[in-house]
Amino acid sequence: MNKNEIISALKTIIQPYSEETLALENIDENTDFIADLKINSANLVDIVLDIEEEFKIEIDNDSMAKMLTVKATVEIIDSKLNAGK
Amino acid sequence: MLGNDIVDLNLARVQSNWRRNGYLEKIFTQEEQLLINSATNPDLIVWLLWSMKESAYKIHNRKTGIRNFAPKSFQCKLLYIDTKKSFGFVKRNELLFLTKSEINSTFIHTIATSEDLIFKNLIVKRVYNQSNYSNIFNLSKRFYLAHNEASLPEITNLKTKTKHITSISHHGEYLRIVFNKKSKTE
Repeated sequence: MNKNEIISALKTIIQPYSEETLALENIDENTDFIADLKINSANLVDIVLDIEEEFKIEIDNDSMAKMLTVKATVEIIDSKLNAGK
Repeated sequence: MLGNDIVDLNLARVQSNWRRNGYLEKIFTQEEQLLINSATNPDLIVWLLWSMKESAYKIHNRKTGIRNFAPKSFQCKLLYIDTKKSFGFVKRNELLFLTKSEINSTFIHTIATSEDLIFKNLIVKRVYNQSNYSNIFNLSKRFYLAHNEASLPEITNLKTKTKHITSISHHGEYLRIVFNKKSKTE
């Protein structure tokens, strides 16, 4: 799975938690979950759980701590996906 | 230092399903989960502890400049709770934040403090959550609310020209502006 495929899967996951349709439509590496997508912090947990289910990976607390931007999240997903190979 | 967090319980109910598998484990320590699971009203304890963590995080973020999402590293302890209020503290490594919460059937509001700040010197303004809240607050003519160079909210006493440490929180219908009566230099 390449970076763009991860971002596209991420977009589907995030969609129910953000009302910022324009920011979501233009999602890229620089998108910030809170500043740009106005995601409620209690829903960040849902996003982490959805990512775990979707990509069949486990996200530890240290990784979750960094998951405030698309860039950091894509890096974490990518490294977890490759760790199993 | 000062932080505050408000949870609109009606909105939280539809926005978050904390009963979802794995949810509590990501946010709460073993001890906190025990507190939630043994509570007669677990919803209340979930959002009380959450607001304690969030308000403490806001101080931690201001002090250290660290921006992250590590709710489990903020460990809550309840010292007192009844149907209307709660007192406790939040620990993060060597840092300690005292908390005071107002409990209601529709919202939970927690204020966290650290160091020299004391609760009795704090003023809490309740405003309906709307985008022009600072204009409404500024109608008072006595205090002026603006954001400083670091994009942090700050209140100026228009009479004495003193600056006052301020924290703002909003969720759903609710918005709270909390500030220290004592000025930064006092």
